[in-house]
Amino acid sequence: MGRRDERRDADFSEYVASRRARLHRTAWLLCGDRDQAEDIVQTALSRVYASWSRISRVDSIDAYVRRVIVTTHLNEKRRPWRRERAGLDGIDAAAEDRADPMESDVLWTALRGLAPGQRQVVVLRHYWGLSVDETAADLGISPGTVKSQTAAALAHLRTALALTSSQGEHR
Amino acid sequence: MNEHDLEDRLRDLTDRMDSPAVAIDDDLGRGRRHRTVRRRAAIGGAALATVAVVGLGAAVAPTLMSDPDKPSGATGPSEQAGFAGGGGPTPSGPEVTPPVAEDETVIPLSTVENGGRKPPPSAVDDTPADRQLLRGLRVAVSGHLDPAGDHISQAEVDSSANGGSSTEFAVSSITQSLGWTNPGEDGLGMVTVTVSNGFGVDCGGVGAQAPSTICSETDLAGTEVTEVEDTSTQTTTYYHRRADGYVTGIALQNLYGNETSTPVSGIDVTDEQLAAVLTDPALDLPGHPAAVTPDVLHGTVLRDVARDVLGADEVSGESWSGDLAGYWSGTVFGSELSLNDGRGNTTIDGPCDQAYATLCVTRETEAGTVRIDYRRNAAGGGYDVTLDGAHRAIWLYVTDVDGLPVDEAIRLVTDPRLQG
Repeated sequence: MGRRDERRDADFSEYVASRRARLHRTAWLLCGDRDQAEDIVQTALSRVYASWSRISRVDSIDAYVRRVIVTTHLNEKRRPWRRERAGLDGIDAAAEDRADPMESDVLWTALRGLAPGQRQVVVLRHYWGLSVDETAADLGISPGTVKSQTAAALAHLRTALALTSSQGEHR
Repeated sequence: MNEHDLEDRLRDLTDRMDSPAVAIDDDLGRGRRHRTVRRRAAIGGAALATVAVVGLGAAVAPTLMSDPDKPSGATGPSEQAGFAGGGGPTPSGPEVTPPVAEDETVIPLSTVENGGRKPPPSAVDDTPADRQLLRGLRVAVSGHLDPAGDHISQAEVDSSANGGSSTEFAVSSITQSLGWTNPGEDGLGMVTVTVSNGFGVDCGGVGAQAPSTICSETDLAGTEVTEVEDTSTQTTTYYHRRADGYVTGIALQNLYGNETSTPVSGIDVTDEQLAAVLTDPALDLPGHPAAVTPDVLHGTVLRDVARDVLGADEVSGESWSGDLAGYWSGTVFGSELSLNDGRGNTTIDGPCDQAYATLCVTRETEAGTVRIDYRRNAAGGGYDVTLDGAHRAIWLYVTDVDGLPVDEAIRLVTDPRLQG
C-alpha cells in the first residue's frame, strides 16, 4: 500500500470513528429499521471511501454522506415491486423477528407517521441541526419547501403527541 | 411542542438507539472492495442496453444479485416492515383482487423464471456489419484494458446487437460482453461495453431513475462521465456522451452470472483505461446518426399535473429537481403516490409474478396500453399503474387501493402533458 493509500485509510478511519453511530441513527430515523439503516450506512461509507480524495478536497464530507444516505433511502422507497426479490436463491435471508426497542416511544411512533419528505426535513434540521438552506441543499429542494415541510411535520407531531398524551391520561 | 423541545426529545430518542458495533476495518474493507471493483457494474449488458430503449419507454429487468457486503441477518428491502417500503407498515388484512373490467386483459399469474434475472441477451443478428461492429468493440476493449492479453478471452463469450424505433425517436445500440479471468483464479468476470446513438446520460436520464440507483456527474481521468451506481448490487456503470453525440458505456462485473457462479477477485483497471475505452472513436455506429435527447420531466411537472387532474386541494407532496428530476411523491385522499417518468424502471411487458401480485391486467387507452398490477400485502399493497406512452413510460404507485380509484390513477398517467 502506498503512502497515499495509507493516508486515505487513516483519514477515512478517523472519520468513521467519529461519525458512524450518528450516521446509523440518521439512517434509522429515516427508514425506521435498524438493519436497513446499517445497509444504508455501509453503502454510504463505501461510496465515501471510493470518492474520498475528491470529496475531502471539495465537499463537506458530512454533507456528501448525508446526501447518499437520503438518496439511498429514497431509492429503496421508490423501488417498484418488480425489482424487489429478497431471499433470492436462498441468499440474503430475512432477519429473525425481534422486538423493536423503540416501539414504545411516542415520538418514534409519531415520526413514523410523518410523510417521508417531512421526516427527512425533521432529521436534517432537528437531529443534525442544519439550517433551512443547508437542508434544502442536502435534499435538493427549495428553502420554501423545507419551511413548509417543517411546519407540516411539527403540526403532525404536536397532534400525534397530544393525542398520545390524552389517551394516557384517560387510561 | 416547539422546535427546541423536538430537538431535545430527538436527542433523547437517538441516545437510546443501539447502533451496531462495526469494526472500522470492516468499513475499510468494504470501501476498498468498492473502490477496486467499483466499475463492476452488475447491471452489465442489461443496464447498458437500457441506453438504447429508455427513450422508448421500455425498460430492462434488473439483474438481481445479493449484496455480499450486507450484514448477516439483514433483510432485503421488500421484507422491511415499517415505513421503509412505501410510507407505512406492511398492509394486513385480506389480499385485494378486484373484479376484472370488460375492457381489461388479464396477464396470467406466473412465477418469475430464472430467479427474476433477466434472461441472457438474444443472439446477435448474424450480419457481416454487426459482426464487424462487435469485433471492433472487442478489439477496443482488449486493447485498452488488457493489452498483454492476460485477462480477456479472445473467444466471443456473449454479444448482442439491437435497434429499436418509435414514431419520433430511433435508437440503435450495440453491446459486447467479454469474459475476464485473472491468472491463477477459477472465476469469471465480465466486461461490457456499448455504443448507442440513444438518449441522454445525464442524471435525469438513462438508468438514473431506476430504483436503487445513485447517479452523479463526475469525471474519469478527465473525461466527463455519468456514474450510475446500483446500490442493490453495489455496482457502478459509467456513461459518456461523446462530442459526436454517441453514448458509450462500460461496466465491469466480478461475476459473469450467466456463465459461472465463481467471481474473480477483482478487475484491476485504472480510470485512465476506462476513459480510453469510452472515448475511443472505434466505438462507432455507422449509419445510425445520434438521436435527439428528450427532456426529462421535472418533478414539478408531475406534481402540477397530479394536482390538476386529481384536485389541487387534495394533493400534497414533494417534487424533486437535479438528479432526482422525473420523480414526484405526494399524498391524495390519504394514499401515498409515487409518480415518475418511468425512465429505465418500468415495463408493461414483464410477467405477473404471483409472489408479488394478486392480479395484473392491461387496458387499452387513447394514450397507449396501461398495465395495472395489484400488489400483495407483502409487496406493500396498493397498485401500480404503468403507461407505455408514445414518448415515455409513466409509472404510478398508489399505496392504498381505497385511497385513489384506479380510473383516477389511469386518468393521471395518461394525461398528455406527461408525454410532452
